[in-house]
Amino acid sequence: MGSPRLALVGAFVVGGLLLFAVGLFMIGDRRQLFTEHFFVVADFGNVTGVQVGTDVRLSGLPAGEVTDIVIPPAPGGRFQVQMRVREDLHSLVRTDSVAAVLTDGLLGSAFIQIRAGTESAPEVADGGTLAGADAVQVADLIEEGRETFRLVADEFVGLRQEMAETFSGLGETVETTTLLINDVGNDVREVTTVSALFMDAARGVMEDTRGIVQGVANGEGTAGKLLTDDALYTHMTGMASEVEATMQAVRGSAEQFEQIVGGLHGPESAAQRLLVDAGDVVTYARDAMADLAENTEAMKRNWLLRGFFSDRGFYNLDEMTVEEYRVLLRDERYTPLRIWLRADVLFETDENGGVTLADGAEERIEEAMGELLQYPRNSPLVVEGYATAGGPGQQFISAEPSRTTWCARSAARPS
Amino acid sequence: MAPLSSAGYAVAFAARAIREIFLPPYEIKETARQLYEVGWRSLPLIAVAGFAVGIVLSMHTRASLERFGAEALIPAALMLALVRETGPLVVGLLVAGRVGAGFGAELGAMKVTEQIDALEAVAVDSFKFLVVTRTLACMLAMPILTTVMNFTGIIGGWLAESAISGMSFEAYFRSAFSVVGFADYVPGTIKTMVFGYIIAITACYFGVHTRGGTQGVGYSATRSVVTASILLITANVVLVRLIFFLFPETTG
Repeated sequence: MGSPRLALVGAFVVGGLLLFAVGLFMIGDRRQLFTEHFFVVADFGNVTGVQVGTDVRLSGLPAGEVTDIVIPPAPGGRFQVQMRVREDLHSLVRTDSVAAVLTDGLLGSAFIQIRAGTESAPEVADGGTLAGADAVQVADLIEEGRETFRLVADEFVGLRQEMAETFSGLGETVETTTLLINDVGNDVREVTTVSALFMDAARGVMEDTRGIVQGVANGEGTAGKLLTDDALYTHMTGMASEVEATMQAVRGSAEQFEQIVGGLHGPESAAQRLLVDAGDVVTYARDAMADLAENTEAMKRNWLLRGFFSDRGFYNLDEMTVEEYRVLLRDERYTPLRIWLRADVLFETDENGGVTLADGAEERIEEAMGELLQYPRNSPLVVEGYATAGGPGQQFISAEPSRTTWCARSAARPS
Repeated sequence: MAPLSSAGYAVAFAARAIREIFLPPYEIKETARQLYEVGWRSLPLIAVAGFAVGIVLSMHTRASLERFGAEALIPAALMLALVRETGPLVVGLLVAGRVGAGFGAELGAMKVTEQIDALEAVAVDSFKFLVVTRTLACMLAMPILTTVMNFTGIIGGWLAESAISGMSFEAYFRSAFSVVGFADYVPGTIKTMVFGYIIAITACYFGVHTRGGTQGVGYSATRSVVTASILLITANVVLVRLIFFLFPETTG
């Protein structure tokens, strides 16, 4: 083997080792192994993502790395995290500096951020201890978000109730307004009728007046004779003109009154528009409430929120088994309404041993059922007992034969 | 029984090679010659392959990290991928192809032409002269070739990145080493010595046990490459597990 080849082999080996050493140097330089440094310790209750070699930064500047993590001797203790920090940053690390575990973005790795201390505090000694601030975990954020959502949901429920009450009040107001407008319409009609009568009377008076004036003009009767002179005639003529003007004014007033009344009844009147707008508002409100109820129903069935709604009692009877429902009834949080009536009050036994409904029992049952009317129509009504054989009377009686008392809820839908 | 006895013989063959490495006489000249053949002459292949792998890895890494707005992590991700696994494995497979076939064919030809017997006849330890020197050369060349692969890969990655973002080489180089630790760099490189050992032993074993003339030589070369590649990949699984055990920080 010639020397040129040997030289190439030597170059290959030496060059390769140098290249490898460059890599080692780059890593060591990044970890500040070749710079002077000092050690500090910080204690944390939670060291998620922190391990030996985790970056340490001082106000964002790369400052060193974690060199050791001392596990607390007992539960509740705090982890002691030892860090190696560049010596040239020593003047910025004071006894009041705080170390915190942070994350590089949402997906990045954890690092420890040391906040520079205040000028009044002394420099931390080599091996000294800093206060540690625990990291904010994504799980904690989710828990807080869940709590916030719970509060928002409560607000929504309250808002829904308030909206229902508001729109209920608005409906009543609209009804009252309609009644008021109807009353006004009736009054206006009566006034119009009276005006028409008044107009007829006025026309009669006018006719009579014309007749008298005509007679007087012709010089008929005592008055005519008395008034044949021109002065009196002229005076009477002026009086007739005044009466005619008065009548015309009355006629004009009556027409204006009719126009006003017509305006109140017209399709474009303000009252009609008010009624139409109020009707639209009620329709929109009803649609909004239906959407809200639909959204809430969808949220109740969502797998993420189902547990939350179930905890608050918004369970879905369609998705529950009988056993789950019975378990739910044993929960102290839910107290289903049960009305119990004594069997000897409701039933009586005849001479043949047959059981029939006692006198007044029907009223007692209806009275008991009245307790259920306070709940909305959509509230669940559960039949807890039923019979499948016999006539209607037998089914009714044998629905709960083993009980000495009778449950009104089970009688709600005997089948 | 024949497969089992063959496996036992192969294990004894491999163990003997390790033992003989440390026992005199040391065939330094022959080892250097093999180092020239295995290392120096593989350099162009490894450099070009590393360059291409770096470009491809950079493009793939960019496509993935771009979705998260983490383009700044591209050099570090590429370096981690190269140093931990891609570099060592690609170098191992390339050397298994090039050197494994060469060893298998060369030793197979020597066997069928009775050159190995001739060496024995002149009192030369053929095992030490032919097998140990090649094994040692492979074990020495592999870490160096892997280092070359890593650095040419960085250069390739930088070229691909600078064409898109105009990043400087210094910034790219520093960023590449920002997350790589000793536990990533050193074990990943040193484990290629095991790869070199596997490649050399497998090729030498098939070579010195060649039968059937020139047809047998070709057969030995093919079997050397295939077997060495499979052994190398399966051994890598064990080695990675071992590295995780010895250097727990590499699992992060």
